[in-house]
Amino acid sequence: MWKLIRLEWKKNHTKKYIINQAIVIAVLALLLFAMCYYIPIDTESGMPDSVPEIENMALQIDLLTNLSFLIFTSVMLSSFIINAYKNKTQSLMFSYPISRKKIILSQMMAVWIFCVAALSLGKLFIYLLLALASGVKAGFPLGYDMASVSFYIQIIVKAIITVTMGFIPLYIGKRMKSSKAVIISSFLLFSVMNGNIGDLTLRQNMILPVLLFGVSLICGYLTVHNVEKEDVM
Amino acid sequence: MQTILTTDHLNKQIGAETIVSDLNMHIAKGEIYGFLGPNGAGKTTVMKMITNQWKPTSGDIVLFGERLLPDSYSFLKRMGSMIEFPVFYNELTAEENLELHCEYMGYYSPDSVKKALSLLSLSDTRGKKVKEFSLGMKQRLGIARAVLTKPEFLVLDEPTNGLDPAGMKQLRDLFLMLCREYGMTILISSHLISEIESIANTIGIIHKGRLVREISMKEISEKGLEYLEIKTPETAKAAYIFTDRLNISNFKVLNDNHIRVYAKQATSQEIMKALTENQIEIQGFHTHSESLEEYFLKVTGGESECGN
Repeated sequence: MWKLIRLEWKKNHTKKYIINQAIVIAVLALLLFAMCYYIPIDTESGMPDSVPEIENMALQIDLLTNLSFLIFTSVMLSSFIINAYKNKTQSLMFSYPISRKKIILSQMMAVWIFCVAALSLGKLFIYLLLALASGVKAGFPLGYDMASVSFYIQIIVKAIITVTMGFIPLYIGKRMKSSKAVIISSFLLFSVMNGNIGDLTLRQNMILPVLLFGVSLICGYLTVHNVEKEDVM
Repeated sequence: MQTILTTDHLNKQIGAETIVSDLNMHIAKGEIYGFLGPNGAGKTTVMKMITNQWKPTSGDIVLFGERLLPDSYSFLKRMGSMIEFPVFYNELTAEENLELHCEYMGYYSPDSVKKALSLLSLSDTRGKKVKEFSLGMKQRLGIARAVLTKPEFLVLDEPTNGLDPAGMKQLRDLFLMLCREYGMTILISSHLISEIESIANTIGIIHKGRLVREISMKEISEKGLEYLEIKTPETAKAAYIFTDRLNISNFKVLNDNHIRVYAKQATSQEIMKALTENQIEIQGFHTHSESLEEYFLKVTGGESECGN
């Protein structure tokens, strides 16, 4: 399986994704840094005079990185799997003496491992950048403690949940045979995760992410389970 | 004779449309099997089912003595194929594409990639990205990939597409060499009947999803596809000479002036000699050899887009 994953990275030019993700992380880091340290302060109240709903920076980092990486994961899954069906390279893959389930699973895992690692490292970089500048007066509390072990566990768990959610758009895209469907459904999924119903913020509700994580795993399973019986069109 | 492939009442239906119907095909080990049929006859569908890309609606495929199941894949290690058009990773070079193929096939043999490229006259382009290849070059690279691992069974769908006459000749020689030197069994479909005719041992003719004829080339020539046509006003007398003197029964009186003899028992010289000795007036004669194309057209009722 590991060999198949490495071959997926090789033939899909993963280097270009590394560069793209580095750019995304750099832009996000810059944006969040500016948000944290260069927000104009209202001279009368002494409070930041914009985005009053920001509670702390940890939530903002989560929100922006999760949005970016959910879309990024969807783009990669679409490129590795949906496009492979479209440009017929999946037919070529299915002409090899390897089970189809293993092939699709290796394609999913190639994206999953890459995105979980990139999201975790990217987030860590942003957290570190903001924490290093903590001597400067911040507009908002940082809301995280980098000395705690649970902080790092949380980064990895959240990265796993976010990237795994990419399997929902993948399943939709595979059913609809459309790359666009993958990207659009990842946006919709993010809206659901971070939307409000009245006063209820779904983002702060633990049930929804757990539920969506479960749905993601089911979608991942459905993407793979019937593949041996399908005609490769 | 050992059989590599047998299909037993193979059917493929997509929606309400029947693409392949009740197909029974037999390919013997070490032979070149020419698969002929008009466009849309079902050739590619059969090839896709043989390589397990498409699953049969009903019927069985037995490959290398084992029944193919929906989740069979180990047999693919013994096969090479190129169906419809060759697909590559366009951003990779020709060499990288072939190396990737070896990795997936689990085939490790030093210089095999170089040899395959050289076999198809692609050595100079090994470092070139596939996206820069012409259709003919892609076609040759597809064949290089199919033969790279020296498979026992090669399935090629219209491999001469996009090639110039010299390229076609090169492929024809290559297939014969692979068959002779490596004992490869080759299933090859083509719309160029003359191409198949010159290399195939057995011909399978598919028409409207049905295998209407499966016949060896030897059988075709033995079945009397060569005939002598004689123009004479005395057809009845000539017929008598054939049956009584020459013991020939395989002839046909076409009309009052023409008689066609399919006999193998007598040469055209013997026939002419017998007629002249019996003072039968001969106004003209010619030998005619029925080509595979004519045979094909006859079998498919002339409903063909095939040609030379």
